[in-house]
Amino acid sequence: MRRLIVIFVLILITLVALEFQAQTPQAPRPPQTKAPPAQTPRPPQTPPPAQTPRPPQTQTPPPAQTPPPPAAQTPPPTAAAKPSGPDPLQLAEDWLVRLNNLSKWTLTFEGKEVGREDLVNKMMELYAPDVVAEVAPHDDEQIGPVILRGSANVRKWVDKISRTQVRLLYIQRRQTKKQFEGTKLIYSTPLPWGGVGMSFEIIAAWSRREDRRKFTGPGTVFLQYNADGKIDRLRLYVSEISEVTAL
Amino acid sequence: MNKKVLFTILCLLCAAVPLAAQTAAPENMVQIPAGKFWMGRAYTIYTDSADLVPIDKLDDRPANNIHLDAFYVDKYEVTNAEYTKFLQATGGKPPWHWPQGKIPDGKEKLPVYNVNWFEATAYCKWAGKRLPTEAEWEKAARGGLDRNHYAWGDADYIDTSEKYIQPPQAAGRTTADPVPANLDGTDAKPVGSYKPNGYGLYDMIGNVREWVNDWYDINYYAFMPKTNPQGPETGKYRGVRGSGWLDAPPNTVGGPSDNNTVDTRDFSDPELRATTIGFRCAK
Repeated sequence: MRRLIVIFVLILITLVALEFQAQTPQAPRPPQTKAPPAQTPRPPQTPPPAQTPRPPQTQTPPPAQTPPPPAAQTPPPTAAAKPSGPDPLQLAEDWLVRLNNLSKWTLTFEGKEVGREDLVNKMMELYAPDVVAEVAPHDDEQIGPVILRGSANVRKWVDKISRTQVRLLYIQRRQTKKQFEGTKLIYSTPLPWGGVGMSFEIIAAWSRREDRRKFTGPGTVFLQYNADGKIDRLRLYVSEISEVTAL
Repeated sequence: MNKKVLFTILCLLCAAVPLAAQTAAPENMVQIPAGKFWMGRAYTIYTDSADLVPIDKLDDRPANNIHLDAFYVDKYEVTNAEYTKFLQATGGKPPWHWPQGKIPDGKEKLPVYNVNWFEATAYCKWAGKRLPTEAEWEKAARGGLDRNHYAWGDADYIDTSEKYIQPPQAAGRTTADPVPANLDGTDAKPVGSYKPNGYGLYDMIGNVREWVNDWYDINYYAFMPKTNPQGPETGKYRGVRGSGWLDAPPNTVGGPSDNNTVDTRDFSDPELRATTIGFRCAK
C-alpha cells in the first residue's frame, strides 16, 4: 500500500513538473528583431546577396501578391507585336550611321578619292538586289519622287550623295511628353511575308559639296527589312527643305 | 546720193540673208526654240495616293528641268503618200495592210502605220532628217504649255469646286467640247484634221503614236542628263510617245486617260509593226 502511495505521489509530482515546464517560455525572443540574437548584426546598407535588385523583367513577384495567370490566357499584346530578329532601333541607327558616313572620305593632293567606294559599299550592304526605293530629289532641277528600282539604281543614288554632299547629318527625331529627355520612337511591325517594317521621323541636314550651302528639313523614313536582314523597300521623305543661313 | 541708197540697200540685204536663213524652217517643219522645259510628270497624281498606279508605270517621274537646243520637227505625222515616195526610191517593203502593196483608196493623207522603228529611222534618214529624241518629242508636244498634262492645256480639267478639286489627271473634263485629237476612233484620220498645239504641230496626241529615237529605260528619269538628253546608250525597246486613235478619250476618271498626256511614256519592240504606231521626223 505504501508503495502505491509513493508511486502515485511520484506521478503527481511528474505531472506538476511537466505542467510547469509547459507554461514557462523556452527561449526569450525579441519581438521585432529579424536576426537571432546570437548572430552578429549586419549594417543595414549592405543587403544580403539574395536581396540584390534584379531587372524588372526577371524579377519574380511574390506569389501571394500576384495571382498567376490562367494557363490558357493570351500573352499581352506588347509581347505578341514584338518582332523577332534584330532590334528595329538598332536597324534604324545603323542605316542612319551608314548614310551619314557617306561624305566622310578624303581627296589626296593628286585628286584621288580615298575611302569613298568603301563607304558606298558599306551602305549598299544593307539592300536586297531587287530593292525598290522612293527618295526625295536632291537636285534643284527635279520635281517629284525619284523611284529607284533595283540595287544598281540605289547605288547610283548613294554614289551621288557621296559625291555631291558633305556634312551629312540625318538624325532620328526624339519625342517627349513631359519635357524630359526625348525618346527615339520607332514604329515597327512584323511583315506578313517575313521580316520587319519600320518607320521613324528624322531631321535631315546636308551641305552641297560644290558651294557648301547648307540645307535642312524634317522627314520620315520607311524601311522594310526582309527575313534575310536586307532592305526590300525604302521610302525617304524629306520636305520643307530650307537653307541654313547666318542671321 | 544714189550711191548712198545703193549702199544702204546692200547693207540691208546682207543683214537680212542670215536672219532669213535662221528663221526659215524647212517645208512643213516648225522650229522649236532653244530653252528649258520640265520633262516628265511635274506633280504626282491623285491615283498615286490610292496605290492604283503600278510602280512600273511611274516611269515619267521625277520631272527634270531640261535644256534643249533649237530643233525642227515635222508639222504632221508622215503620211502614206510621203512613205510611198520613200518606198519607190529605196525599194522598201510596204506596210502589210496595204492591198497589193498600194495605199488604200482615199487614204493618202492618213499617217502611215504598221512600220517598225528601223523603217521609220530609214525614212527620216532618206528625207535628210532623223527621229526626234524623247525629250524633243515631249517639248514639241507640250506646245509651250510647260508643266501641263495635255497638249491642249489643262484648263478644261481643273474644277475648282470643293467637291471635285482634283488634279487634271483624275478629274473629268469640265466641258462637253471634244478634245482636239483623234481618240477612241475606228481608224486614223487625215493628218491635220484637228487644230494644232501651241507650236503649230498637229496630232501630237491622237491619230497614231509615234516612234522616238531613244532606247526606253524605266529608270532613265532618275539620273538623266539635263542638257540635250539622248536616251540610254542601249536597251531592248525603243520609246513610243503620244497616243493613238484606239486610246480612250481623256475624260474618264483615272485609268486610260493617262495615255493621252504629253508626259506619258511607252515603248515597243523596235521590230514590231503596230496599227497605232507611226512617226514624224525632226532635224
